[in-house]
Amino acid sequence: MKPTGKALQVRKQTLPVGRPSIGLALGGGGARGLAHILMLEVFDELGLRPTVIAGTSIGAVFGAAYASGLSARLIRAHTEEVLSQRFDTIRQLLSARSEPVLKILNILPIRSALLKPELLLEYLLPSRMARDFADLQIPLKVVATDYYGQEQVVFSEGPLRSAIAASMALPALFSPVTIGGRMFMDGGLVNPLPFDLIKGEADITVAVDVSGAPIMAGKRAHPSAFASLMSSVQILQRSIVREKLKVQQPDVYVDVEVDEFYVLDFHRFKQILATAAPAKEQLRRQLVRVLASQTAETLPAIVAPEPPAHPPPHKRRLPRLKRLSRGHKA
Amino acid sequence: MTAPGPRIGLALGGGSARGLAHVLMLEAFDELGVKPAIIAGTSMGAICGAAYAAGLSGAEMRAEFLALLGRRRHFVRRFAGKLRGGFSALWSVRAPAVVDNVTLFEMLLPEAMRRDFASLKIPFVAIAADFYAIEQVVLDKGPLIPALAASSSLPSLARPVVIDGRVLIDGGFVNPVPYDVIMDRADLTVAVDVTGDTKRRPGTKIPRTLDLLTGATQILFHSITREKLKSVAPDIFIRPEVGGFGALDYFRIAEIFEAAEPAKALLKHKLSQRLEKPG
Repeated sequence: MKPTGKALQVRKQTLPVGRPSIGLALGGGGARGLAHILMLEVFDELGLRPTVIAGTSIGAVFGAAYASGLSARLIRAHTEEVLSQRFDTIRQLLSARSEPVLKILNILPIRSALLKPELLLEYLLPSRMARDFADLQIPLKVVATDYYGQEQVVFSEGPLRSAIAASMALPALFSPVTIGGRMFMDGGLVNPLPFDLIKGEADITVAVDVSGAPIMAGKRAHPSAFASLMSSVQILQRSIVREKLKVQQPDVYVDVEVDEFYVLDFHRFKQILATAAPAKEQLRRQLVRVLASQTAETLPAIVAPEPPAHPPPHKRRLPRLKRLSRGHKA
Repeated sequence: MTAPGPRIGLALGGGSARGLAHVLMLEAFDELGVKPAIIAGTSMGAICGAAYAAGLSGAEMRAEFLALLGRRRHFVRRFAGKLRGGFSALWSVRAPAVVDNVTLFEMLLPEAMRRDFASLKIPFVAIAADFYAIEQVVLDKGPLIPALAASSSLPSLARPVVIDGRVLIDGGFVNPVPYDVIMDRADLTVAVDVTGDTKRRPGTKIPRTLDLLTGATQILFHSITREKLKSVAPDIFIRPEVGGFGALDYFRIAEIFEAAEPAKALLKHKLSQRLEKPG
C-alpha cells in the first residue's frame, strides 16, 4: 500500500500532506477492455492508487486483478501469456462463436451452446487473485444485470469470481450466472461505465470508456448484418453513457479509441494496446492536471481531517431510487 | 380542433410488436377530444404516430392493424398478394435474413401514409440513429416512408436506410422514448414507453438464446430511458404492461390490446386531470 518512491515533480510540490482520493471506473467493452491494462499502468507509473474501483464486465476483470494488489505490469504479462498460449482452446471457442452469432439467431432454440463464464475465468485470472471481496486491497464494486428484475446489482462483498462472471456474462455468448436465486448477465446492459457508483466516495472520479464506435467497413455504406448486430450493442451502451453524462460527469473521462476492434477480438491483444497508447498518455496528462488543481483547491480541507483509512463499508446494492430522485427535476 | 389549452407533445416509443399498445393511447386522445400539437415517434411509435398525424383515428388504426395482423392466415395472403417483385424485393441477397423495410412499408402501410411530412395534419418527427456517428437523427421532412423505415430498421433484422448519405438504423438505439425532442414545442409532454414493465416474472430459468438476446436488448433500452429520466422528465409518463410480449409477437395483437387497457385508462385519467386544472 505504501506509495512508491518514484514521485513526480508535481506531487512533490502540491501534495504535501493528504492527497485527494481517486475513484476509478473501468467500463465494459469485451476485448476492447484490454486497453484498461494501460490505464492501470498510468496509476503505477504515477505512484497513485485508487481508493475505490468500480468495474463492468471486462472492467470488472481488470479492476479485480488490480484491486487484488497485482501490479499493472504483472497483469499485462499474465494477460499476454494467457492470450498467446493457454488461451488457444478458449480462443478457438470464441472465434468459432464470433462470426456465426447470426447462425445462433437463425437456429433459434439453441440453449446448450453457451460458455460458462466461471470456467473461462478460471483459465484467465492469475492464481494470485483474491477469492473474496474481503481479500481485496482496494474496495471494488462489480456491476451486473439482474436479468429478470431488469435492474443493476452491485456486488461488493462475498465471492469475487462469481460476481465477475456475472458481470461479464454477455448474452448469446455466455450463459447467465445464477447467484442467490437470481439470474445475472453482463453489467454493460445497465451500466456500461459505472463512474456514478463511486462519485461520492472519492475526491476525483476517473472513468475509462472502452465501448468504441462502429466504423465504416470498406467502401460499403451498408454494414453487414453481423457488423450491425455487433455494433448495435455498442450504440446502445454509448447512448446510456451519453444520458448518464448529462446528469453527472467524472472529473477525468478517457474515451479509448479502440473502435476498429470487435467484442471478441482478444487475439488482437497487441494491436489493441498499441491503439490505446494515446489514451494512456491522455489519462496521464489529465490525471496530473486534475490532481494539481484539486489539491490546490481542497488543501485546507484535507489537512484538517485525516482521510479515512478504510472507506465506509459498501452495501450490496446501491440505493438507486435515492439517486434517481436526487437527479430529478420537478 | 385544437382548443385554447396547453399544447400537448406526444412521444411514442419503440418496442416492435409491443408498440401496438400505442393504438390505445391514441384512442384515449380521441375519446377525450384532444389533439396533440406535435408528435414524436421512434420505431413502432413512429409508425403509429405518423398514422395518427396523417389523420387516421385511433379506432381506424385499430381496425387497420386487426385486419392486417388479426389472423395470421389473412396476413400471409395479403402479404403474398402484394409481393410483386417476389421475395427478392424484400430480402437482400448480399445480406441474407435482412428485410428491406422501405419495400415492406410501401406494401403494408395505408395510402394516407405514403406521403410527405409536409402533408401531415399534425407536425410529426421520427427518430432514427446514425449508425456510424452514433447519434440521434430527427427526421422531419421529405417522404414519410423512408423515414419510418429508417426509424424502425432493427439491425440484423431490417436493412439500414440511407437518407442524405447517412446510414440510419432504429431510433430506439439512441432514444427509445423521444419526449425530450419535443419538449420545447409543447406545454405538456406525454411519453409512452412500450419496452415493457421493468419487472418480469422472476426466476432463474435460463431462457433460450434468442430470448436472452431480445431480453438483453430490452434492458439496454430501459437503461437509456432510465438515465434520461434523471436529467429530464415528461409531464405524463405511461408504461403499458406489455413486457410479457416478445418483440415479434405481432400476431398476439388482441392480447397486446387487452394488456394496454389499464394504461389507456390511466392516460385518460392523468390527461383530463392535467387539462382541467392548468399549470
